[in-house]
Amino acid sequence: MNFQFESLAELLAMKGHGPFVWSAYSISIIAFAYLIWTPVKSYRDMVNRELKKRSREENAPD
Amino acid sequence: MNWQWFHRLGSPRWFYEKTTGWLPWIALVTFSLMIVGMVWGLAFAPLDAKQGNSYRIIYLHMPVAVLSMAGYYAMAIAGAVGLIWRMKMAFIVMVAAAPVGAVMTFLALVTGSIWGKPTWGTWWIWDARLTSVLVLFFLYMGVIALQQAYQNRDTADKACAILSLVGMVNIPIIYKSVDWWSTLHQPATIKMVGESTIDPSMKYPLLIMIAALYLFFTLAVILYTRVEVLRRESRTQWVSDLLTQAANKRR
Repeated sequence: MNFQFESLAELLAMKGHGPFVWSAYSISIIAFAYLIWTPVKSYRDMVNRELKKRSREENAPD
Repeated sequence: MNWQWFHRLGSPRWFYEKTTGWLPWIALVTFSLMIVGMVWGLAFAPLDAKQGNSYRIIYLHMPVAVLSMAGYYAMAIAGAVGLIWRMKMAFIVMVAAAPVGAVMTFLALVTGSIWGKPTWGTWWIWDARLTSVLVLFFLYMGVIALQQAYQNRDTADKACAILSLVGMVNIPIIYKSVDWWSTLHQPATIKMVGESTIDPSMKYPLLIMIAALYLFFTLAVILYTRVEVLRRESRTQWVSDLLTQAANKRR
């Protein structure tokens, strides 16, 4: 198993196929990040709602 | 036979608490495999004699395509379990699998399109393989839309389960489309039965990426399932306690 390219520039260029290969990988990585981030964000929103609810309750006049 | 595990699995709270400890480990293995598979596939796997470097897209395209179909089975089977045993948890998993499967299908279409341009000379063609995968994407979107279309959650769950099950007929069509119709799409290179038509030096990173994507799918579905559990159980004491605890930590 060897590194298939002479230099980093050649790895990026991929003999002309670079834009295709790298855009496919970039789009996929962004989509993977989206799939992890979305549920994490929903969870954070739930905790934030809980925080807001409690500060409302604490500030409410008795 | 001891069926206790099956009943436990049906408890959203049990699922939530159990998976909390699993998440970091699944994430660690998933991302390690993904990094190894991608670096190997992009830089170390040999050049394809006919397609040049563009074939390196296979290390993403094929695994996401596999998961777009396996994910659909997972969603439909969860729906069936929900319908048959009236299991709350099964419907939650079904609802959680839909967006993850939809993104996998979207990626299969997009990476395939990007690979198609330098290889076939076109981004898109209305042939059997590509069209049936597009139908799969619409089926996922249908399940997501249907879930939001009903006021009543039970009705929505049942409708989604039925749509998922009916849509399952599309999966063998996708799988066999490259053999049944003439198409630009190449036939399967890795076969369960018989010789694979891919060299081992190209196959190993591909197998690593398939494993990574299966784990990634599992990880994402667990995350979506946990949020859906909290949403559906939001009026219960344990969820209220859990959110209070999390809020306390935040302050």
